[in-house]
Amino acid sequence: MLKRRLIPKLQMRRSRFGTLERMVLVTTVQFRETLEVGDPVSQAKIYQAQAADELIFLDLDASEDDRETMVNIV
Amino acid sequence: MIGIVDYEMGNLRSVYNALEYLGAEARICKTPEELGEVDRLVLPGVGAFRDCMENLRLKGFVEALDEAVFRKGIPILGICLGMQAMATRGLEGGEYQGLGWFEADVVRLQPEDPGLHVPQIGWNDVRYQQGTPIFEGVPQHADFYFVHSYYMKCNRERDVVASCDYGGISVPAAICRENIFATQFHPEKSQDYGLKVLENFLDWTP
Repeated sequence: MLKRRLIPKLQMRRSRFGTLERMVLVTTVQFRETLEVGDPVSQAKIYQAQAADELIFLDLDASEDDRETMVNIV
Repeated sequence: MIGIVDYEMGNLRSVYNALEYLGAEARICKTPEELGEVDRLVLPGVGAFRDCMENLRLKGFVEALDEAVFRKGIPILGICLGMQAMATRGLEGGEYQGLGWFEADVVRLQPEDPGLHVPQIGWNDVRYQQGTPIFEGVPQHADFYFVHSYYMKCNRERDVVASCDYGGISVPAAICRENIFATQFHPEKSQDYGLKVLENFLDWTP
């Protein structure tokens, strides 16, 4: 029997810390505000350890920044 | 050394990464000659039957596979479309000739349940013949990851060593014959039990 899939979503955004730039894990508040909550790779590893069925990586600013899939993170 | 056949269709990297994760030495084989340099083979595959067979033929892999699998007898694992390619015929968008290693037709999934879509995408539980070496350490009815629109209808029941149910259809999940083993599901995408299947294949002496 086919099972329902539980797919965690990892939302990412580019964050600047001084001159350093990296992708951070964010959560959104009513699709307006974003709160930085950690590192997408670490969280992905946690989901993998929890046997997630699949993972969705969402780069929130990809279209705006004209950015391709961040294969290095995936 | 495990060779992964690269005929430009298939998630080679996923398979490669899974094998390396298990500590094996894997090598992506872009040319037929390379098949003679490995002692175990994986035939991956994602896409359409016709394109798969066309690519295998054009790149000269059909003869090289025959040589490696039948003359030298090296163990081979087919995955998804790689498994389906081993059939006599594929009926996707016409009638096409497969490798003919198993007497079977590859036909479209037509589940009786109207709530089920084609392709089957996701986790489904697999019943296997007790004692099958490649499923050692895997419990009955463990879930594996499937993503396919066609399935292999085998003429010989004893070729089918594992199956899953999709809307009333008994879908062959794994087939086996001498040194040839193949899975409809993607072991490299099936978490721990998938890795166990791969691990068992690495140790398999048919």
